[in-house]
Amino acid sequence: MRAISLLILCLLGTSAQASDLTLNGQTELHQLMASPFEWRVTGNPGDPVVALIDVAAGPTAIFGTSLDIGFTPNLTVVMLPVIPGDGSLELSFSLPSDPMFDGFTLYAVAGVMSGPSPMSYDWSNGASVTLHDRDMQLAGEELSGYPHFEYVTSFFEGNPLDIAVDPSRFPEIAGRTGDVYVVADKSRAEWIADPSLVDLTSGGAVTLAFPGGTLSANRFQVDLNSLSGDGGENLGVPYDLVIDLNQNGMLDGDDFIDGYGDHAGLYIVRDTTKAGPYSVVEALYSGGSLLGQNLFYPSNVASLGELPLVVVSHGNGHNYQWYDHIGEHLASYGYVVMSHQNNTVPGIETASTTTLTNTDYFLGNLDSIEGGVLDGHIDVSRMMWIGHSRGGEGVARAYDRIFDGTWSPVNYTINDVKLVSSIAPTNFLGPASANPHDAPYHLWTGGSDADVNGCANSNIVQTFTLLGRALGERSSISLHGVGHGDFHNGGGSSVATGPCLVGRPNTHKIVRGYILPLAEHYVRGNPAARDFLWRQWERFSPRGAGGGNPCVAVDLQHRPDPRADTFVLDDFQTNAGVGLSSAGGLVLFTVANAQDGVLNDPDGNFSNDGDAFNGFTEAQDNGDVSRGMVFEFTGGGTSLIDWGIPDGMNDVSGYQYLNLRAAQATRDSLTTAVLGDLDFSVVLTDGEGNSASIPISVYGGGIEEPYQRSGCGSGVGWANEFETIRIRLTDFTTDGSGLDLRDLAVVRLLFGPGAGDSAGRLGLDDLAFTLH
Amino acid sequence: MNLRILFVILFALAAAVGVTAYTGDTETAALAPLPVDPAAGEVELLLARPFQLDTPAVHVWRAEQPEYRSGWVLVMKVDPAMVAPRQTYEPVLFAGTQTVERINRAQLSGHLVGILPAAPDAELADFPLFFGEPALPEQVDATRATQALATARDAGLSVASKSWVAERTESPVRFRDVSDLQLFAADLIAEWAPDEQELVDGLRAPRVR
Repeated sequence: MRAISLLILCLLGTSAQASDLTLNGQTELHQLMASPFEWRVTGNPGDPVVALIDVAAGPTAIFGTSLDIGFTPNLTVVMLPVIPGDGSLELSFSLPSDPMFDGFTLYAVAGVMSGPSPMSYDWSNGASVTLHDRDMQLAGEELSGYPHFEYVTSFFEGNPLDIAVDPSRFPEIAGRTGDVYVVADKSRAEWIADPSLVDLTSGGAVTLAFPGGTLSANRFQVDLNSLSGDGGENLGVPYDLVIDLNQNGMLDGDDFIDGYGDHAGLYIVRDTTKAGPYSVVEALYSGGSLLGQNLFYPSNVASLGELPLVVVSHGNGHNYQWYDHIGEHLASYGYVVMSHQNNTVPGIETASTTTLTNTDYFLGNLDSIEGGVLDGHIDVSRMMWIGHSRGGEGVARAYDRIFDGTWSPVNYTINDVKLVSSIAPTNFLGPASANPHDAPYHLWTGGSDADVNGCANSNIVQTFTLLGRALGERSSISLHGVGHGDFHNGGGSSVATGPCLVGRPNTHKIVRGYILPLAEHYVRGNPAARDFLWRQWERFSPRGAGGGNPCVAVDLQHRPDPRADTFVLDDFQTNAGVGLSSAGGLVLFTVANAQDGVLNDPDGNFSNDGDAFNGFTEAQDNGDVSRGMVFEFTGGGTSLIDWGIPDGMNDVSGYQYLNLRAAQATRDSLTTAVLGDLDFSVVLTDGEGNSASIPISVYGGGIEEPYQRSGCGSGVGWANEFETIRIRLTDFTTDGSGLDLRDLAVVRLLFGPGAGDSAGRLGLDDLAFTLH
Repeated sequence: MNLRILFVILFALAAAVGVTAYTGDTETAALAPLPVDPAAGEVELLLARPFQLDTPAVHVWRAEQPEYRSGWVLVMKVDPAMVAPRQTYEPVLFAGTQTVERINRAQLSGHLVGILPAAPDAELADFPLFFGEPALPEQVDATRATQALATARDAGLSVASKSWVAERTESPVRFRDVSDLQLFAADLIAEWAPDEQELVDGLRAPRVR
């Protein structure tokens, strides 16, 4: 009770007033604690004002009217000054700062005392303010253009660490001097218990003056390369970053912090192609027919608690001893990897059976395998299946069989499978049987694959179809110049065709560099891994994974689970036709030949022969429903697509990112005219007409051109590859753009001169706002 | 600079680049084309060992998935193009109307070891060996197998004489279960397809006790 009374008094400062009440210009304010705060009440000049403040929203019928306040026992009544001559009483002060108020909401109404009794007061609307921990994005990297800075999570060890504060979002920074600390990550509770600051950079805390003005004027390097990324078996070392504005060596007052909650502000990560800290034991054994297993585990497993399990299911004609590069690498980071005999030659059903039986055999015989050294050291609830080729379809089929109830595992459940990952998978069985359903799903595909080659002439070889069926969180990595045999280490041919081949050793560097963060994200839930899954490879990729190699081109997709914490604006799965988004908003466009449909090349080749969905292979000829949009722009001016935000859904301020995926259309003359990353701009506009525009290329790369492989019809260029574009929503508010994310009206994609490349043909899908 | 010096320098540069660079070239598909006429790929019997199992096994190489307790372990000479591993459909190896379980790749040696389930009193000469149309064996049922045999016969499938088969048939062997049968097959692979030592090692992996 005392705390609430204190909070109310802090909130009021000296006093307040009525008729029309706003808090920082809003009626539902969410604000960081210790931030500047303004009450504004309008009314007749000279009238006194009373403020009612409470902890419940109401409404309450009282004084002959309905007031938006709860009238609980905590109700506080405060007399405010009279309305000044301009009819608007404005009171400015800072919000309180105390961890106990995090998430606390106060509700207020004001009464302009224009009559003798409350019955005759001019009561205002209700307004509320919800206080939040003082936690913001500070760490990131400089960009070459607007928004000038990208707030990111992970930084490679040895790279500079920058911070930036946008004074238009945090005006309290202007004119202040603070000491910047990079400190060991603490949880919220740890910060409350111990707010002291101990800097970990070699140079110590940096004293910086923040002049205000633009974000660029308040952007600084705080460490050149001294922070350690040695997280042991964990990917990355977590840090928090603090601007100590009162320079007292403590986190308090209105200090800025990135990482106050139970998450780190940033992670320093090492080159993920390098081996982890543990030496690895490899073992070969058999439990009987089709139960041959090749095992990798840390030699010190006895001291490591319970470790995640990765099960590898090989492809047809391959061997379960051909995945040492995966086993050695992940085991060195504290995973147990078991690669097993896979019965692929009879077909996918039998392959899936060996995935299921080997997983059960392993988990059911831990007391015998390797003398029982793993007994009690497997966390069955954190399991990943990864299969290659027929085995890649097999792992999806295995999941499907459990999902459909036609197979019942003994020693694990379907919920224990945290990721199903397919390397160059076949698609024999189709959507009814080879279907990841709601499983987190991941795809690897090689552009030079001469076996499961991706051509439109056969459903069996279209690797993207399984990804298109995955309903939950999903990711993919497409590797130009990589063949079918490059993914294993069994020697022999790369089974590859096409230009600029990458080869097996270099493919394995990419595999090692990517599979660790893949497993860390999906299996261990490590936030340090997230950036690896979606940031443009050109800008953020492990140093040892082909940097500087002109043949290495990597396209990444990552889509958070659309059923959780996501506002899907348009995924083209409902409301057929391009004039209405799947969210129900109007879609207007001036791009040419816009069309939505199933992401399936229907005619069996990639020739540029007029198919609207030429080159798309995410859906097979029948049964698949993955849909998207295609369109083109041809220069001579800008063209656009506008998605109107449906009424009532305009407040996107609670989301972190705008996501979409796009792909260049293979062999189209608008693609081949200029081969290279394609650029366009994303423009957000609010209900008042304020807008901000960001070209996607500012974050590195763009939409990659198709791999320049011939065959599968006439012309050059292989299957269309989607790439994910994610833009942090607050980037659009940089430097006081005025954009109000609480009232978003239009999402526009803008193409042509001034916005990006002058011409192109694109596929588009999964336009959504996401929380994570 | 004379040409010889120039060439030496260029060669040295190329060699240096070769150490660190990526292949950067185009390789034609290493997969042999799928045979147009699978029936044309002859299968020659080299060795047959009748076997019996104390514990029955399941023949998952056909749709009906029948149990079996007996049959033959075969060593066959095959056209490597017919057994080149591929992820798409491969020609199915038949013995009469039964599918044969292929144990090794045989891609280099051309010597394929397989398991042919059959009744104890069956005559191996009644099971002519041939490759049928590309398919997944697990989807081949009796109807498709019968059609495949008819197609092969129409194409001139030759049937070995009983005496010819008998000359290649050695003494029967008896195993506790299919695991031991596969160990026996591993021995045959080691003998007939020594390039597949890694597969043999995998099949001979120590049993967990």
